[in-house]
Amino acid sequence: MTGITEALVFVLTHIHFLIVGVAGGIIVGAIPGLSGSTGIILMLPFLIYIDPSAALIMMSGLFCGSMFGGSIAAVLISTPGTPSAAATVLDGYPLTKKGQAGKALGVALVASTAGGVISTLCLIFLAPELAKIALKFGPSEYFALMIFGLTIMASVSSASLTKGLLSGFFGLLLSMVGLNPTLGTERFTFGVIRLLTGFSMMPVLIGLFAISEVLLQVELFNDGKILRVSKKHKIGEIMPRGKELKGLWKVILGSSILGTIIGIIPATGGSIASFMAYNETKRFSKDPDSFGKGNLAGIAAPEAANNATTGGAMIPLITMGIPGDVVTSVMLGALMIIGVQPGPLLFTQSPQIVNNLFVGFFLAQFVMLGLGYLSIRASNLILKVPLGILYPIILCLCLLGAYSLGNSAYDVLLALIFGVIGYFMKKYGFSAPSVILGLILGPIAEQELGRALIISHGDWTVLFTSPLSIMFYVFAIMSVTYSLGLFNKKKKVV
Amino acid sequence: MGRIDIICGLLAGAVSLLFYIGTLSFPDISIGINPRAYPLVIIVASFALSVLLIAQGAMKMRRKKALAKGGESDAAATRTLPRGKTAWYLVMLTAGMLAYALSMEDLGYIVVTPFLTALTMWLFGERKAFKIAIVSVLVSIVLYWIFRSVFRVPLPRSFIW
Repeated sequence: MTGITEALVFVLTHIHFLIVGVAGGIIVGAIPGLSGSTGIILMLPFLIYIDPSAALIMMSGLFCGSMFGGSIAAVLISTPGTPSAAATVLDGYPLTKKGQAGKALGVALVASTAGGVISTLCLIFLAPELAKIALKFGPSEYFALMIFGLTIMASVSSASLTKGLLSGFFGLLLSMVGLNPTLGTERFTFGVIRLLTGFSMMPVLIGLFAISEVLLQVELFNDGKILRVSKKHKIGEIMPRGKELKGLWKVILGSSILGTIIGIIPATGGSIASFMAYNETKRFSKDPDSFGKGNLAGIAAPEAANNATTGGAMIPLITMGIPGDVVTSVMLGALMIIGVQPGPLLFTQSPQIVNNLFVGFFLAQFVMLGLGYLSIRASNLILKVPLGILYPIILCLCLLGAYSLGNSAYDVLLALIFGVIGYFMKKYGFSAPSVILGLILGPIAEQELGRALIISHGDWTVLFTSPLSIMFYVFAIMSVTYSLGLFNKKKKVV
Repeated sequence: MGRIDIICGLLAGAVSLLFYIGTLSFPDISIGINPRAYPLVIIVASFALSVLLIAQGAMKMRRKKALAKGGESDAAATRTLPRGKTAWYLVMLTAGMLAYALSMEDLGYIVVTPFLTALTMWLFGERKAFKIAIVSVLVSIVLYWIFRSVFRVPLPRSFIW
């Protein structure tokens, strides 16, 4: 209990970081084109200079805030601010047309908060237990786990399975540049001394996610494809009445549990959870025909589910170092930059960081409730933020962030190169998160493979003897099969 | 989109080949695992995926030709390279960032940042010269102050500033 009390004191004394994180999350979530992952990258230049625990709670706040923020654009302009808010458009926008945007956003806020609280409780109770199991992993189990983690790259790509996998393998190739982890010999540097240390995470993250987005937005802006708020929407009454909430509690509870479970499963994420929750709520509703016409349950279900995935997705991330979705992939990279290595050892070596995260994540939901209310009032203003000022600031922050970690213009150049690569990747359906997954998990997989084979004196069968390893290989096959099925389904729809 | 897939596949294949050439100079020592083993698995898989992407691209092109003969259009073939003014704007921004990266250590952060900020503002449709000047200088100074004074990042300075 002392640990939790200490964590509570820590979070309360660092509450400003949580507030900035949640507020930043709501803003980046609300602006179409920006997302939680971009938000984390934009905060990176600041995160590296603050206490790792404070950085972690700031990122958690941003993660949760961006989930709710996505609903603002979804409800007001029928364009989801983040992919997770896509299902919210279905019933949110019809309410805006009826002049009840405030109520729609109010329901989204309450449902998001409830989803976040329930998933945080699961995080607090499940994560330590899972970490205890993960502590028993040897190199061969870790290698199998990394293989499972790498299969996520198939599902985080949206356009094509081949392109998603190719992107991931590009990340794996990049991860091999530098020194051999077992022998310490130089490899794939092609005579460039700078490459001896490999590609550092910061410029690659900034380039692939943020600079590429600025380039893409320049194109969309000049092609007239950016949807802007042309008129002020009537917000009206904000918080739902007690009677309305009473009718929604079952939907919120069910969707929150569904969202948490989906969040725990790697390779899923908020968008899958929100659509599943929406469909299930509609299926069990007494009045399914009212869905799509402004039914409050059609807003509560996806919003509770998508914010519930946040706590769920944190479970595999902090216990095993396996990201559950795009945002947690970026978060994993960010954690490594700030010196926090997620995994079971985090629970034994730095328990206070874990406790701070738990308390921070829990309080983030209530900070979101307060700031969310204010953001609904200011929603017209947030959506009208001038792009001519926003993107130059983003670009400056990106370049400054790339420079500040190593105090080197070489990193700025590297960020620019990866920015151009990321622009073409996004444009032609390749997956930037898959590159990051390959870049992060590749070296761990190689290191664990090396360890396992050194212990077994080069006997490769050691990789397939443990039941846990076999379980992870089965999960890996299931993950790829699931992605294949999903892509085939998409093809048929197209 | 088919032609783009073929080009991307060729590029990815070339990168895989480049990495394969890199493995030829590896030392012939083995501690538990041959140093070539893991990289070769990754390289071969990357190369196979490149070939698959080229094949998929060729199939898409064939389907597109068949659709064109039948008088139908392929909706998936819409993502093309930027053209005209937009293409020039993208080149300008990339060149601006390149110039920024190459000159920031010689000219100093506070000297080069307002130029890049101003360029980006202009590319996002801002045309009021006074507003561009004020915002770009202010943004640069505020960020400089935050990083230099608060975070103690030694941002590059030159003889000018």
